[in-house]
Amino acid sequence: MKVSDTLAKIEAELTAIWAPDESGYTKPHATTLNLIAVSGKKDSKFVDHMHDVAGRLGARMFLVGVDPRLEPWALDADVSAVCSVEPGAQRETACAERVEMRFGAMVAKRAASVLEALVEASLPSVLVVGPGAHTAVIDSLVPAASCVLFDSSSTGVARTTELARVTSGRIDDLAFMSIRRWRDMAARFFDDPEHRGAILEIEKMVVRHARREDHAGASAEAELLVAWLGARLGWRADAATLRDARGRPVQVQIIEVARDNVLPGALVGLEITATLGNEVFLGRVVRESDGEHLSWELALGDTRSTRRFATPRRDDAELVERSIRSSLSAALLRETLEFARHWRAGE
Amino acid sequence: MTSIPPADNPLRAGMAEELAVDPCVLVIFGASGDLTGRKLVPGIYSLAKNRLLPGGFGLLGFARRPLSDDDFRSKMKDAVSKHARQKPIDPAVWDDLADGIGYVAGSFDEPEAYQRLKKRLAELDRKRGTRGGRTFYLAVPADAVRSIVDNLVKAGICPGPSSDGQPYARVVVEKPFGTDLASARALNRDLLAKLDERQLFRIDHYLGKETVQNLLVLRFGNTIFEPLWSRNHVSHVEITVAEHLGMEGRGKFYEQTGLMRDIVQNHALQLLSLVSMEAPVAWDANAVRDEKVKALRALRPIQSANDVRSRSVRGQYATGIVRGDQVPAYREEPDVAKSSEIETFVALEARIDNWRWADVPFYLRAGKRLAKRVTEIVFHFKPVPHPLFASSTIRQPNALALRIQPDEGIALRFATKLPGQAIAMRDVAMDFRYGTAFGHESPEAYERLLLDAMRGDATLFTRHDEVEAQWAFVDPILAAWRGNEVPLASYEAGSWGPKEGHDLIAKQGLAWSKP
Repeated sequence: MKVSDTLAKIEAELTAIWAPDESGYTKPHATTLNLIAVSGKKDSKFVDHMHDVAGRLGARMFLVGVDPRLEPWALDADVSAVCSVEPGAQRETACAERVEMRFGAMVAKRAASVLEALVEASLPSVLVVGPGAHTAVIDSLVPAASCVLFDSSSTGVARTTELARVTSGRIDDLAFMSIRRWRDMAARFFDDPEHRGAILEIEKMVVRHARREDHAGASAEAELLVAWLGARLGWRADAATLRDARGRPVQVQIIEVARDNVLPGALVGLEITATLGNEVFLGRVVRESDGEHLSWELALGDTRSTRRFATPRRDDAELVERSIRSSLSAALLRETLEFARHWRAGE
Repeated sequence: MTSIPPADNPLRAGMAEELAVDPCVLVIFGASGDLTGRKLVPGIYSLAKNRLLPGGFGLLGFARRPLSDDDFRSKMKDAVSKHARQKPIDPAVWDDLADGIGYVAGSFDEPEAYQRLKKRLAELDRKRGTRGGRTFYLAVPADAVRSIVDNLVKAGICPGPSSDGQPYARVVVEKPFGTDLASARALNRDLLAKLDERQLFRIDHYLGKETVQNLLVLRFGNTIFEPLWSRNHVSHVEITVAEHLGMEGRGKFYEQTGLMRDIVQNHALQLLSLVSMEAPVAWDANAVRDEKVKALRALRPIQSANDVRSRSVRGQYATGIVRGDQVPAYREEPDVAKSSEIETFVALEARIDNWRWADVPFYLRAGKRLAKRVTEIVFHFKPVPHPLFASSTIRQPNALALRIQPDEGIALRFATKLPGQAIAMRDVAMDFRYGTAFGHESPEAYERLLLDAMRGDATLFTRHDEVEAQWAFVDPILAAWRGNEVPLASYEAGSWGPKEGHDLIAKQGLAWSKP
């Protein structure tokens, strides 16, 4: 079956879903956005998370993948509607579409054209790049998307940077969002106006993250934390050395440690050392053994202050929902990714 | 050489709350009162949980009742457990916050108590790194405000305005701010003799509500509404601030205050100024408040006896049924005189004499023991100039309803054609609801306002001239009522107010919307 024939079939099935039944009853149709989720696997945690998000936001959801078992020029699809029923209601309260599409290898690069016909044009479209997403599908969809959510934890910071460069729309990165508490903790070292001067005097930064199965170097979370701080403070990569805004070297260490109660790659420690006046300024954040609290400490000479903060475990559905609702600019992420690119290029 | 302005932390850029609060101690006067346990400390806890408090933060309660630090912490923990927005409370967040909580027992007019307070503040500065930053929250009766500020200044714990990098001291004053124009002016004069306007934060918690702030976003963050927002298209505006509750133990307070002072002088007039003001030149405290003051000053006085009779209604609830329960009349409430003439309902026809709003009546109604709790502003648009669809009975279908509470949202009403062969019309509503669209809970008004006060942003607080303009509008009405120019109407509890309230708007061939 040609792609356009499958597309016509999808459209007909969608029309049938919203047509009145024999009694004249029509399902209440409510959609607030188009959620396009691209995944390498049909059944995965990522797909479950996307279903959660689509349900919570009332999204028309498209689950897009490539099936190597299909004819290379084929497109296969399933269409359904998911309805919610509020407590006490007799019938569905609101329903929205789910369209699962599997492309043959040769037509994967036409994904953008197919989606163009199916999305509700008056609503915002959000593309979420999941783990194992097929390169051809991503390369087709990303440039046209008005909002793209990456996850550097699965795609890698380098690939995220590459894709971010071809989209002019809003972008976000679940890995970058997942370290927002750590960014807040780092910023907190310098919130006190009397400590602000230390921000220009950072000499050393140590980031610790939980070991990953593949032992593939620094985790995306660790890389993004260093790149964020460097980009914000005007550091630059000079060959393998990071230098501060005045050109003095900053020693950066990323250390992998064994931790079994947090996700692989998740941050577990941060230390920033600087000199303020003639005293050593040491800021430290450690994820406690329960995995759910951060202990924050700031020592300046003989004085020391400590705090303890709760930090929930990473929840991808919550991160995607938070990102969709967020109005924050992508400028911070873009400058972080660009910094990471220069840093890698110097290594 | 790269330099960073001392007030800015570059690592805060792009975060949800870019403007970090400098280290400080929040001192709550009236700490044993209901507001502290119900709103203030739960609000502080929410700020701590969402990591919006500065690294150096402490909280001191100050009240007459003798309590130890531990007693106060324990009471506050119970209050937070009961009233916090995010429950159950997180032990790590609470323990960290509680470590910086203390209590000072003393009278508001006892100089020695302020010396004890000074000592405790210095201890907290050392222990919590609060560095001399101070926010004093005066959750006290209006007559205690002067004495507290006097003593704070005399004890040297509330210095004048700060320059960059210096410790700061701010004073938050709860309403009512005065009891009439003369007393408000006197209070302003006395406070401003000791403090700078930039240090004074007169709180009206309505301004901390998300939907009230959204009024400004709706008007000045969109382009489609502004061309309609004037006498050219608006026929009249209704502002309703309705409560289904009665006195709830506040009978004594109400006997001295009445609804005009409790609700209309502040909340209702603030809403009126927000929807009628011109666009400010910037989103900052003075620019926004300049425009609000202009709108308030353009209010046509309701001054002559004839004006007061024709444009104001006062009422008091009789017994009735509210939400299925029989409730007593106002005069049967505890601490209320059997012959009380205090109003629990007010309806007004306000006029704004400027180019934008000339000839557009603003109808305000506010009351206790009305049919339900609702705050709503409805813009009614002018009818179509020529009824093209003769078969239709709808001539004026368009209205924009801004719901402040509960079910916060915006609804736009317009006419549509009923399906079928004939041209028949029906009005429908496009409805936006905060809860549905954004899913998550909005912060409590007090959270927002406490944070703004601690960081010195007065945009959502009322300035001295605003307060005085509000009193200047209501004072002549209150004076005429005192002279019995307008009889006190009675209304059944659970209704939408007295018949006279309906007559006020019916004179123009209109009717109140049913919220």
